[in-house]
Parts: sequence; C-alpha cells; structure tokens
Amino acid sequence: MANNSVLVIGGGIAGIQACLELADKGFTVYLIEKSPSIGGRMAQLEKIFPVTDCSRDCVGTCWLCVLMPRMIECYRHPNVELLTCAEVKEVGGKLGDFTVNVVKYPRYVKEDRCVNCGVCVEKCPVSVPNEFEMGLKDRKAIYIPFPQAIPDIVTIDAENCLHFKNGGCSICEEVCEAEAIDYEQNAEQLTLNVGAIIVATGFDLFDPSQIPAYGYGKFKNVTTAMELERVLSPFGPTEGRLLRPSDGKEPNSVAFILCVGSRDKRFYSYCSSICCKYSLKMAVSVKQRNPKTEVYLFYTDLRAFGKGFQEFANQAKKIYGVKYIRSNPGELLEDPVTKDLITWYEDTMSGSIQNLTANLAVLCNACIPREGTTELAKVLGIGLDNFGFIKQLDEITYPVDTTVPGIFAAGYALGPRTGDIPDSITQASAAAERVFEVLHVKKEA
Amino acid sequence: MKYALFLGCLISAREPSYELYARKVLPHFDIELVDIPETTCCAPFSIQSLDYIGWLAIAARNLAIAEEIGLPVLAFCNDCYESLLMTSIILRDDPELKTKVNDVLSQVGKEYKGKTEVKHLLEVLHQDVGAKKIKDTIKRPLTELKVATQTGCHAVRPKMIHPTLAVSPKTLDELVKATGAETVDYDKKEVCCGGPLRGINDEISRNLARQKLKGMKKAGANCIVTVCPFCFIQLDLGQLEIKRFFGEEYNLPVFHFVELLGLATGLEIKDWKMRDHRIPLNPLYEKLRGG
Amino acid sequence: MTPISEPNRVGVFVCHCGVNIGSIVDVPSVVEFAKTLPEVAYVEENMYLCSEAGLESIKDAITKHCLNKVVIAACTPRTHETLLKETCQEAGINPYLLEIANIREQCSWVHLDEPKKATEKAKNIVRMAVEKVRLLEPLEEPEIGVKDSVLVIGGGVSGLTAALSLANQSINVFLIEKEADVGGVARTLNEVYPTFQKASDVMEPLIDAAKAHKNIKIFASTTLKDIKGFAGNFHVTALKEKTPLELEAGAIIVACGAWNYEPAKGMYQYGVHKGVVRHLELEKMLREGTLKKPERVVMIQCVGSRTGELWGHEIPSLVQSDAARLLTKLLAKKEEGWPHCSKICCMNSVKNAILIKKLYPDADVCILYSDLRTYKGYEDFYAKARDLEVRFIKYELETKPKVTQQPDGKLKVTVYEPLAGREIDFISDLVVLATPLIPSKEGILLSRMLKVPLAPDGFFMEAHPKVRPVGAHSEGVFVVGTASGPRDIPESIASAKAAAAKVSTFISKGKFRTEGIIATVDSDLCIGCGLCEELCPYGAAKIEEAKSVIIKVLCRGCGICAAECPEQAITMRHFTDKQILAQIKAALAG
Repeated sequence: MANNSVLVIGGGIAGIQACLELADKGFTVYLIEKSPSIGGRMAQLEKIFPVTDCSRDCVGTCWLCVLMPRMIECYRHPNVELLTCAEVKEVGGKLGDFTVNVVKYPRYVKEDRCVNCGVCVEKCPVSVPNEFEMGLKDRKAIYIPFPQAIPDIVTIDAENCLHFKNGGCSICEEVCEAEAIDYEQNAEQLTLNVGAIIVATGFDLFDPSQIPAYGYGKFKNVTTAMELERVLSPFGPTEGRLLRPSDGKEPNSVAFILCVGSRDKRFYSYCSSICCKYSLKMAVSVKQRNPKTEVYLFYTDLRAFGKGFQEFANQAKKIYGVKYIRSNPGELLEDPVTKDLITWYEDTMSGSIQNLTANLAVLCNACIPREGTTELAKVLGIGLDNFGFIKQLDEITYPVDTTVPGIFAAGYALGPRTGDIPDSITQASAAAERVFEVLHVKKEA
Repeated sequence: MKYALFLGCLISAREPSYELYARKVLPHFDIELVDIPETTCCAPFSIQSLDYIGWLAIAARNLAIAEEIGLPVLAFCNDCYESLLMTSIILRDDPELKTKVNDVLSQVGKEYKGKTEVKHLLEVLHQDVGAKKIKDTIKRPLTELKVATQTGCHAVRPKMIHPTLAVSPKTLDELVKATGAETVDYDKKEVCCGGPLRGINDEISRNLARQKLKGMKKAGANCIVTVCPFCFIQLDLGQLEIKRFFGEEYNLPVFHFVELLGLATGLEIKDWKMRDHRIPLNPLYEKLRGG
Repeated sequence: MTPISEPNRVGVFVCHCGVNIGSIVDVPSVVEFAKTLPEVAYVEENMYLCSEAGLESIKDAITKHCLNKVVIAACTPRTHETLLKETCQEAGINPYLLEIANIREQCSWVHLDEPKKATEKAKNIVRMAVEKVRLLEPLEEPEIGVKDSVLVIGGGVSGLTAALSLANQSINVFLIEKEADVGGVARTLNEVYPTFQKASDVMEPLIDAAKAHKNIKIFASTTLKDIKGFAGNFHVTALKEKTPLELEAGAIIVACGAWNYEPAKGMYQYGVHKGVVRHLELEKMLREGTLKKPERVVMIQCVGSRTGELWGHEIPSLVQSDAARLLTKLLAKKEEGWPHCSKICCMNSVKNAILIKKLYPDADVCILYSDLRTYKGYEDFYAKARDLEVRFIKYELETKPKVTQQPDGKLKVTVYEPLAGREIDFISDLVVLATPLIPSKEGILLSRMLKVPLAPDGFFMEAHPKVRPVGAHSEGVFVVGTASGPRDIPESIASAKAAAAKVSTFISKGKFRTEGIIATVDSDLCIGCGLCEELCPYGAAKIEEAKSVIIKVLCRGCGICAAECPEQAITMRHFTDKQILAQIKAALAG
C-alpha cells in the first residue's frame, strides 16, 4: 500500500532540502537528527562561496541568510515532524511500506515548555568542550549547541551532568521558571510507517593526529579547516577574530595544507572534493580581514572546479595575493620559542627545496564517512562502497538511489561525489523526485 | 513658405493629434514643414531662473541646428516659441553673452551665428496666410461651434515684438471666425491658464484653470480652441482634475486650432480616434465630421 | 482602491543583525527616534529578527499591540522578505503592509568608519519607511490556474531524464528537440567514466523509454519561435520542419545543452593536420573502431579554457543581439578562449587514455595537464591510468604547449616541463585537445526568449548560486544539465530529477499566486499612445479600444510603463507617486 509519509535521516542542508521538497509536495516528513539541533556542517561554517550576495565586510552570517530560513521553514512546516536527539534503530518492510523503529533519546527537558531563556545554562556549574565548536569553546552540561539552534530548546548532556553522575545538583530545575526540566524523562520508542527513506547523514572529518608528522595535537598552532571556520565565525570561540592558539595573537602568515588524509594510500585514497574550494574561500576570508597577512596554499592539483571557482581561484591569486605552492609538505616542525610552524618542502614547479615559516598552519583534512554509517547501513540493508560511503545503485543512471528500492541518499553521505553545497541540494531534490516517482507508481499500480 | 519645424516635447509625446493635423493641413496653405534633426527640449523659458547660460545654450543649440539648414524656425508651442525667440533677441543684443554661449556650444561642435528667425504658428497663419485666405479655402463652415479661444501668454510676447497683442490677443479669434465658427468673450480671457505652475503649486494652477472654465461656460461656449499644447493640457486634462477635485464638470471639448482647420477644409483624418483629447469631443465632433 | 478605514498603528522592529548593524549603528537611539515618528505605536529591537525567536517576537508584538502595519529595519529584503511577509501574514496582517528599511547593506555596511553618521542615516531610512508604510494599501496576489503540462526544451540526457521523471508521475510532457532525433551529445559518446559503461547502454534505454511513454510527446526537428505568457500559463510557438506548432505548458525545463569549444583553425594545428582532434572526434573514432594504432598520443588539457575574459559585461548587448551578430561574437571567442574550468575534461581524457591503452598497450599515451582535476573522489581512476603507464606531464598555463608539423607528416608537441626545467618534445601521430563546454548560441537566444538572465560566464544563471541551483530567475522556468554550466552525466541526471521534483510540486498544486505589486492604468488620463505596450518586456500592457490595459497576471511589477507614460496615467501599486514623494520628503526632512 502506498504511503504518504517519508523519513529523512539527517538534518544537514541535504536533509533539510529533501524534507522541504517533500513537505511542499504534500508528504508527511519525519526529519530525524541525532544531535540536538538541525543545521549540520553548514551551520558550522563562517562563510559560503560564492559570496556574491553579501558585503565582503559581512561578519559571518552566511548561514543566517541562507541556511536559517530553511531551518525555520522545516521547523514550522505543518507537514514536517522534527525529531532531534533521535536515531533510527530498526527498519523493516519495503518500498511503500517501511516500518521504522526510532529511539528518541531523552533531553531531560520538556520540549513544549522550554522557552530558551538561557538561565539554566548560565547557572550550570559544569563546563565541557563544545562539539559544535570543534572543542575550541566550552558549553555547559545543559546547553544549546549554538545560539540559533532549531529546535531552540536546551538539552542535558547526561554523561557530564552532575545530577546524573552523583545526584548532587539540581540547579537547572530550581531556576527554570517554565518548569521544563524533567530528570525522569525516558527514551521514547516510536514506530513510524513510511513509504520511502532518504539518508542524508553527511560526513565526519579525518583525525590528522594520525599523521604525526604534521604535529596536530602536539603543536598548538596546527589547526584544522573546520576549527578555522569556527574561529572565523562571529559566534565562535574568538567571536570572529583570527587569533592563533598559542599566544592569542593575530597571525602574520597562514599556511593551508591540502590533501591531509585524502589522496593518501595510507588513509583515504580518494579526493575529498571540497577542500581545494573551501581553502580558497578561507584564504580569501583571511586576506579580507588583513590584506597584509601572508597566505600560502600548499596544493597538489588545485581542484577549483564548478561554477565560478576557477575565476575565484584566479582572483584569489591576482587580487588578494594568495600564494599557491604546488607541493605536499612531508612534515611540520615547531619553533620552540615562537611556536611558529616551519616546513621544508619540494616546490615541484621549480624543483627546488624550500622552507617556509608560518604563524598558523591549517590542515585541510579528509572528509570521511560519518561514524555510525556502517551500523545504519546494516539497519537499512543498504550497501556501502569500498570507502564506507553509501553506494549508489548505479553511478551514472541512478546517482541518488541506494541498493535498496525505496531508500535514497543525498549529500556527502554519498561521499565525495558531492562536490559542493549546490550538489548536495540538487541531489536532495533529485532524491525527493525519486520518492515522488516510486510512490506515485505504487499508487497507480 | 518653408519652415524648420520645432515641435517640442509635449506635442511629440502627449498630443500626437496636433502634429498629425498640422502636417496634414498646413501644406494646404503653402506652409512646408521641414524636420530638423537632433533637436532637444527648447529649454522652457522658466529655466533661466535656474541657469541663465544653460538655458541660452540649450535654446541656441536648437537655433544653430536650424541655422545649418538655413530656414526660419516655426514653433507650435508657446513656451518653445518664447524661449527660442527670446534667446535670439538676447544674443543679438549682447555679443559678449553670445560669445560665452558659443563657447559652450563649441564643446558639442555647434555655433550659433544669430541669423535665425523664430515664428509662432499663430503669427504665420495670421500674417503669411491670413484670415481671408482661410475663409476662402474652407469647405465646411464650423457654424455649430461657439468657441472660447485660449491664445496663451507666450504666443504673444515679448511686448517688443507683439506690442498690442500682448495685452489684447485677437489673432486667434480672427482665425477661428474665419472657419465659420463663433467666438465668445469670457471672463478672464487674457489671464494665464495656470500651466507653468503645474507641479510647483497645483492649487493655484488648478484654480486659474477653473476660473477660466467657469467664465467660458458662463459665456455660452461649447468648446475651447488652443494653439499652445501646454494650455491644451491645462484645460483638457485640467477639466478632469477639476472634476476629481471639485466635482465640477464643464464638458468643454478642447481642440487644437489646426484640427478646426482640418475639419473646416475637409482634411480631417478619418481613422484618428482623437484619444489624446480627454474631454469627449462628441457629439460636436461627429456633427462636424458628418456635415 | 479603498483606503484603510482604521487609523495606522505602525510597529517598528530594529534588528542588530549581531554585530553587522549593531556595532556601527546605535540601535537603541534609532529605537528611541522611531518612537517619535507619527502613527508609530510600538518599537522593539532584536539581535536577530530572522531567527525563530525574532519572528515570534514580531508576531507577539503585532497581536499584543494591535499593530496593523510593520516596518522592519534590518538587512536587504532580498534575504528575508518572504519570511517576514509570511510572518506578518501569520499574525493577520496583509503582507503588503510591510516595509523593510535596509539599514545594513545600505547603511551599516557601507559606512563602517562613520558610526555617528551611519546612525543618523539609519534614522532617516526608518523615517522614510514609516512615511511610506503609512500610505501603503493591502494588495492581493491573484491566483491563477496552472496548466498541467510541461515543456522540455532539448532532448539530451537531461531533457529525457526530466521528461521521464515527470511522465512517470502522470504529468504530460512536450519535448522539443532541434535535431532529427533525441539523444544529444551523450548519445554520441563512446564509453562513460568512471564505470566505462557504453554510452549507448546509458542512453538507448532512456531514449526508448521516453519515446514509448504515453505521457511524453517528442517533437524532433523542431525549433522554438516564441514563448509568451508566464508561470503556469506559457504559450509556445515552434516550427516543426515547415509546420507551425503551438503548445501550452505550465512550466518550462531548459535542457538545451552546451557547445563544445572549437579551436581556431591552426591552433595546435587543429583543422590543418588531420591528426589533431578534439575528444568529441576521438569518441567517434573509438566508438566506430576507426582508431588506428598510434605510436604516441598526446592529450593536451585546458585548450580554450582557463584563459580569456569573462563575458559578464557583454551579456546585456548579447541578449539584445540578433542571432547572426551573436554567432559572430561567439566565434570570435575562439581565439581568446573562456575563463572557466570545464570540469569534465580531465576525467574524460584519463578515461580515453585508459581506453587507448587497453586497445593498444604499446602506444605511449601522454597527458599534458595544468591541474589534474580527477574530481569527486575519482582518484582511483587516476591511479588506474598511472598503473597502465599513462604519462602525466604538468605544464604551466602561462607557457602553453606548441604543436608543429614535421616534414614526415607527424606532429611535434613541445612543452616546457617545470620539474625538468627545460622544454621537452613529443613526436606523436595523434594529438587530442581537451576543449571546454561553452555557452551555446541556442542557449543565449533562448535566455532572451524566456527573459531569464545569463551568468557572467555566459551560461544560464541560477536563481541562487548556492541554494537554488536548478531554478532560473523566473518563476516556472528551470535549467538543467550543461545549459547552466559544465556537468557530467550523473550530475546532469541529478539536476534533471531535482528540477522535475520542483516542477511536479508546482504543477500538482494546480494554482499559482502571481505578483501583487503590479501596474494600474487610470484610463481617464490614458491617451492610448502605446508606449507602454511597446516597452513592456512581459507583454503585459496592451492597447485595447484606444486605452492601455494591464494584464494582471503577466505584470511583474518592473515599473517601466509607469516611468515612461507621458500622461502619468500608470501607477505602480506599492510604489505610488504619493508614497515615493512621502519618502523623499522624509529623507529631506532629516
């Protein structure tokens, strides 16, 4: 029997797009997100390319202008049911009639009571690193992951919360005027009956400490691209000021190192597809803040493909003065006094060995399959490719179909096939279209 | 007689009927109209209070173009007429000013030598053609018409050129009578229609028109005839505005004099719907055409 | 238009936009100032009005303080106008009783160094907005029916995919193809990457399915003549061979593809020596099996791409051009080349290199590249080529390779190799040029017909480069495949499906709301001069019985007719003379 409901797993931009596409068509959509808020990776970014709509002096409201309206639309859409802090546990049935068991983890906060006044967060005595901030900033045990989170309610991290560890604290309950705290809240089991499923679980990032030569985790001024995004973002740990970790000073020179973990037979042989592009964007962003900053981009092949990117790469060099060095440095050394990074590299264009000292090094680390993808794939019964991303039914003719009829995928869950945000959005709409098609055919039959 | 035709902006954009009829009728009276290329707005007479040299230069440029063709200028619009005429007089009498203006014109490759004559349609019809000739030429006397004429101010100024007409404009009445129509004398006949104040002080502008219309109606007119396109707007569109503002209707259709000439000489343009006249012309118009 | 009978109660909401407005403009003082303006009943400031909390706050204030008009002083309407209008509507206010005062793009962002002056300007902008909003009238968006058929222009892989997707949802599709048969460029290819499937295996089932589908009607050998109408109601005239054809459609999908750049004659010996071909020609040879064993093949990447100037400034005149002049201009770009990267050529070359190696393992295959863009994780593909001993030689774009003819008829390719630090010669019998996909003449002419803009690179411009990649800047028109830029087959298919999703939603709704801000004619003032009819780019102004009539559903509110009307008989709703003059007065009062 054909079904009018669809499940979308993952609340990043791809999931949100698919959700809206389906909801506008009239389907009931369950949007499931593991973390307390939707938004995904895009919410962590400072700016997105191309920044043609905006002032170059805009301080990081890209996602406000672009992502937020969609997040809000999802939240308010009468056809969408948003389930955050939730995970898919079991899936049975087939196209047109899937039975999905979802577990909704307790936030220990009554969703219909919390008004996000912020008092509990202020008073909470426990601080832990904030995952959204890539650990660069702390959050409390009762927290909202970022100021414009959707849904805009708090969540208690039971693992770190004193109340749950030793029963010793009930401050949030005491100060909550809305009486929204509920320590007794249990996990909820929900059974959903849907006609189709779209997987849009996104990606994780390679841990560069696996390459000890780059000193990540040892040298303070070696950072990753996503960490830099948070630093550049006005809501981030430094409120948008570019300050380097060791001494909190503005760096005079920044070196981006591409292909950290990607195109690397030791780790991930594929090209992550997005790093050349985002490093160009960040390089320009750094230059815009202070044109005097020296910015170097260590690349192997500058993969600035896609609409407008080659022109942007040219601009970055000619107008902003970003320096491109065709080289893959083997290691980074740290100056013990200044904490600067020093690298010896072979400049493949001149064939000579050079060295460079940079105040800050940014590693563009590989995008890898989301943790839990293997388990989710088992639950759904879908195949994964040999890198662990979701396998397409046919790379050419069915780019958003998984190996199970009725289950589709979009965004970076499909791996580096997704070259940028417009690709994710296109795939999400394409996946929605596939849902329309297959459920329509079922209806007619 | 050949004239370099200076149409001006209003007629071209808003009163095509005037141009249509002029081009059809005037050759009938041996007035040949030669189009001059690349003219601009005359620079209305009132601009001089904002930029004296600018006004002179714009007007002189138009005159210079006519000079290149070597023909006297014929203007239909009162404002164009006075502007161009005054410029020719001022620059004739002040050689220093003329040099200054020519300095400006040289930047666009033009020079005003000062040899152009400027005439208004009214004086051309009155002097070159004459009321008698018109009377002799007409085929269909427009006896149904009781006309309130509106000569307008600038067609009969400056005083040095039109000493008597400036205070007592009679020419248009004579020409209208020549078509067989009757003219009426009405209150405030010589007063300005209020046109120049449009957009600057709409209240006074409206009131001036209103007073004239009241007078025309009281005197028994059943239509209005103008030569100036500005007066035309003030009295035609103006009646609509007065209707909306004061709720008063006068139902006085407004004709351009050349239209009367056309109707009287059997040269009316059959397919032209006269849609640039807002106050309905019928039943008068139908009567005049049919008869 | 009936004026609102109740007195105005204007609510003013001033946004900080985080630090974007708040750190330059003194928002609290703007708030205090707004309170002094006439008919303002309530003023509030907020950190982010566009956030969920901000929007709720607006709704609450409207209800609590019985506001009937709203001024939002924040960022440009281009970002959140729709959302804010919806919010007003949810609170019971007609969405056209909202005025957005841009105090970000037009104030804080352009006066970063002058906070005091910026604050004064912000106050002025708010005053102007309040004066306008006081005079605003509620407007309706007329609902019109949407025709339940779709026109697909182009029968390549994208067009066919979109057509099938829609047909499978029981939507009628008319597909127009200018060639004698469908299939486009993809059908002429040999094998596709990265799977080496035969292009025919991909295309033939698609073509057969489209031809057989009862909901798809294909018109081959058909060229478009004109497209009139508007979203939901397009009226299309075309010419099928010599027979005229008229179609109605609710939405249009542009899938007209792109051209393949052809080098100028003599460039790299192209057109002079028969051993110099483009990949298009190579694909044909491989497919037909006519490739003789070469001793050495040299493939040169980036021929005619990543060079030359953007077309941005030429686009407006191009769109005005007649077809012949346009073609001349396009051809003139042969010498200069195109600045964009065509994305697919590197993969294509590697694919063909692998194929040649498989056919003739002894042949030496060299690829001269600038940046090897075996993108999207196709690294293994690249590795495979290297394993087969395809040689990859880097060159710099500033020193392009040179191709000369040898006396013995072979070709000599000379390239400066930076690592070796010197020039290297390759004697070869086959030189394959990797040429970019470039905007087609048909595409450019189509953009003019549809009145959708082109991007500076000459391809169709997306509605929003990030978040609306398949929409065009016009309701009801979508662009898929290579018409909006270089794409490979899976991307084209995905884009076609994405557009189909949006079209099917649009069509299935059956109704469409058109513009509320339209022109209106005061027929008493109108003299029927016809200027509006002549100038209206949308065919919305027509002279009927000597008076101008505006066809409401066609009018897009561009304002050209109102500006040009010599009798000032046309007014733009929401931008009446009175409203604009009130704003000017307010601006000068400050």
